[in-house]
Amino acid sequence: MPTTLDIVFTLNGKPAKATVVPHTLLIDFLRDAQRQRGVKRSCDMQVCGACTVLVDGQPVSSCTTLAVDIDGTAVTTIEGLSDGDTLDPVQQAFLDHNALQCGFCTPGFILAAKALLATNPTPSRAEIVHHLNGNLCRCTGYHKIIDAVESLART
Amino acid sequence: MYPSPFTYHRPTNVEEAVTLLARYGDDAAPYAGGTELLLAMKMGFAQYDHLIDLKRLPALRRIEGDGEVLSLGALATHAEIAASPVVREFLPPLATLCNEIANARVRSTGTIGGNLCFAEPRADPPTLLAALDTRLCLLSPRGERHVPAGDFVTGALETVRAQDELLLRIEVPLPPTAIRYERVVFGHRTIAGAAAAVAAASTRIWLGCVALCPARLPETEALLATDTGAPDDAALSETLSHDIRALDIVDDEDASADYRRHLAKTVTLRAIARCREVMV
Repeated sequence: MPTTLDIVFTLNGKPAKATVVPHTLLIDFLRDAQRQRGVKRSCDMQVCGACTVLVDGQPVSSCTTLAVDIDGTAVTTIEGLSDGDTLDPVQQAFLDHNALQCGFCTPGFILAAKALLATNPTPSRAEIVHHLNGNLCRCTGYHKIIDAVESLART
Repeated sequence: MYPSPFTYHRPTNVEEAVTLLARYGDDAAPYAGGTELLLAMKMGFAQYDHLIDLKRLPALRRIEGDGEVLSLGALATHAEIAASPVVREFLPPLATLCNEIANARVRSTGTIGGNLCFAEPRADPPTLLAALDTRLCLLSPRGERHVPAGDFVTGALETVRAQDELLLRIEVPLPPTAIRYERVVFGHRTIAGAAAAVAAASTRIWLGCVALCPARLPETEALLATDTGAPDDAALSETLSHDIRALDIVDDEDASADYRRHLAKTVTLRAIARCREVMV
């Protein structure tokens, strides 16, 4: 049985491949090997959401996911959202609503919001709260975050 | 925190997965969503030399229903169950519960089969599935066998699943007349959850997250099953208390045993009352 595994994936739309040892966690692979430092490690037990990335559009805790799990998938990190100086609409909404303070939780919140809006473009405020309740902001700026996401909900 | 090294296996079909489980025995763990397994491995509570990845077996992800039986592939994620039109049509309480498990990331990764097999005492689905007379279909080199969901979990992190058995499907007979699952969540974990399922032929009342595994409340079931009309509140309260007193209730940092008994009674009465509202 091989001790390493070759994986093929796309990272923020660009094709990529790598060789990983099976017990490598996705968060370490993305931060160290792929230099995606917007992936934040905080609670390390899939409670806080700071390490959220999208795998085939689904939000996952990269701290409790194996790197081998992204084989054959499309991975999105916060680094993949803006197009040069043009921000993604969710990033722009966070800016417009002052929905960040220290910013540590922000990548996770923005990616979680993107996942929600992709499956439900018209979430109610209650649905936004429900979807984001697994992301923690230690600055406690929840209202502005929810306002920002709500501003993107098509009516 | 890092999991200790292991050999990673990626079977391409269910039979191959079972063969691998049989070959490596106690040294192997089936890897489903990983939301509980990887966490346990990271924290050093569990260590395996071999992980058998089931994520790439689409046969285990299917959700089907025909009005008589709802069949959930063991690898269906909580999010897939919550969004499934079939589940929402035939078993709305299960869709609702799966939409409220943990958080959006756990729901998009964690699986119903993993949830059952890991048998974390605070898990909600085992209690609801037990009350629905669900049967679990397991495959091993000895063939397929079926276990009632109510007999599956036997203790904290303990089930009747043999080391070389793979949970394939979860089959829920449809439809009971009324089903409710009521729970109280403290922080991120449920500290009391009760399922009531009332059908013409049977009444099922199960309590979860208060003892080490889901528990049936036989006297309460019998009281509700009598055809002399609804029992009065005092009789129901007394019988329920008697059932709960018979259980070995967990006493820990989240809640004392006394408080859990109180909550257990509250959520059970609530589940029964909401079932009755539907029945009227």
